Amino acid sequence: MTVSLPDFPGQVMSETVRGSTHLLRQLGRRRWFRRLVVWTLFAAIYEVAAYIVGPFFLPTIQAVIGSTSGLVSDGAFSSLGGALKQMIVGYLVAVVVGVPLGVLIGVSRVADYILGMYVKALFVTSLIAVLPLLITLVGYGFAFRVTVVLLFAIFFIVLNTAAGVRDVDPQLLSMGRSVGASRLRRAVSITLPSSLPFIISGMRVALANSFGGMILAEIWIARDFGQILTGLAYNRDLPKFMELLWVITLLAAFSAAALKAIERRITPWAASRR
Amino acid sequence: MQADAFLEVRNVSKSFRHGRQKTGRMLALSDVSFTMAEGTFLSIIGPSGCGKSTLLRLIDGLQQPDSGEILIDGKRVDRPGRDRGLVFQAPNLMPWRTALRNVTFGLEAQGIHGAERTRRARALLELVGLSEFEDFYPSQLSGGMQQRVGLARALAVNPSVLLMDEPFAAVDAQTKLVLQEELERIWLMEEKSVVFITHDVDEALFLSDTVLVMSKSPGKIIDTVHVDFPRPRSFDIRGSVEFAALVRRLLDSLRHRQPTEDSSWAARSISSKEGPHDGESARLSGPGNVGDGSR
Repeated sequence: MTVSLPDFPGQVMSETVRGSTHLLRQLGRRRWFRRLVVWTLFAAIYEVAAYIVGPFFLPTIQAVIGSTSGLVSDGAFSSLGGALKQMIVGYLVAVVVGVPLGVLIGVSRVADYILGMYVKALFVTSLIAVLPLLITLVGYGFAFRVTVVLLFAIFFIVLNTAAGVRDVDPQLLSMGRSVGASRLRRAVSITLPSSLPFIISGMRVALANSFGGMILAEIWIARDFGQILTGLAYNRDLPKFMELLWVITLLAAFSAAALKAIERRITPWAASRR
Repeated sequence: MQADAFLEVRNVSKSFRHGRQKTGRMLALSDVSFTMAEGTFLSIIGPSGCGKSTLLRLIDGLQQPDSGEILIDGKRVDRPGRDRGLVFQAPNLMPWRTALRNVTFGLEAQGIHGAERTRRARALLELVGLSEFEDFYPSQLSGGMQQRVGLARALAVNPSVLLMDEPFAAVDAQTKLVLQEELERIWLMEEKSVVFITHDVDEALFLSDTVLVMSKSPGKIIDTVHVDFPRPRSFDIRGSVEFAALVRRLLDSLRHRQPTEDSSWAARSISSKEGPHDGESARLSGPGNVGDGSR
């Protein structure tokens, strides 16, 4: 495949060829174009592989897209919407609880001694192992799913926030004291903006993990969306299964990218850290 | 001299715990006393780790002395106050704020709001020669410019004493010369008292009315030199015979009691159990050369 040709003197080339190589070179610098090329290649390879191994193992892209109307009539998307709502509630609770908790642990040595070890212990615990206990505590309903998402998300937020608060330049705090800023003003004007990049990147990882928590909770209790998803897998209805998987993956990727864009926008000074 | 003393440091001592030893303390400042008249420019010069930055932090009120006291205009210093402005060795600017908003920070803490705050900050940026850069973020400014913003911020609260902790140590040699002249110009305009910490002999002589020389371990004032060149000082005085003689004098003072390479902080530190006379054995059993404490 000819993407671009070296432009050395004496090369025989018609005007149209020269023009199109120039265009290709221009496009080659664009990120969207490079992505488009890569993804198209992947799609092509996938499609060929799907034809070779047959629909029992791998549905073709065509079949996956064609299954949309079936999924709509199954009510898969509306139950996915319900699951996402629960996920968002769990995630928001994680943010609302996690950020202040992280600030507390970051600021206060006492709080770190008392709470830090539980946070760290739960962070390394396999949360899946806790699920049976959770079910006996809160049942199968809304509370269970929200709690699972909360547990999947909160530790990233707490630990990152605490790390951000601890990372504040002590010289800046000294400067704050020197100009006579009160404790509260130092916290709001120095500590908070300084730890903001940490908080947001914690929120980003937590969001991606929330999707995992959401799917896990759904499959665990096997109702609504989880029931549909497992049902499709057991019945080997691969096109529909694949489509749901794609939708969830895309949602997770886009929401994480959106947070990243917000991060860039509100903390432009932290660019060097990324 | 006692009569017109504006800043008075009386028998100030300060020690720090060092390492993990519970008993060993490093004596940073030992019985330091000096006075300074209002509106004068005083430099403190000494080797790295002689406690000169500590002294400045004590004057600012960020730390408290173990014994002795510091008086400004007859009032005892026990916390940072708006009569003092500190310029740090690093600019210590908030990277999320523009130059202008970094300068306004000091005014915010004083409860000055709105247009008045902006007006004063703009005037100060103009004073330090940065009016065109008010909307720039610190990362977009050069080191010298950042240090100017730091100076403007310290001046924002209109302090009567400006405390400067090796403010030009991190900028290049050419910029440093420019900043020194700028500082003298600003000082002559603003009529502030300045306490200036440096390890640069030329810088201290060029700027100061009085130069104090400190020795290391423990930090003590070992010499006082008065500098009488007319103001404003031109670049040319650096080449004069008198200037060279003063440089020589200061270098001699600095060398006089400066410890040799092998005597580390640990060697000079005193143990509360054994007393300060035990320096020799500590030197033998100490953990070797731990560096001169410079950063």
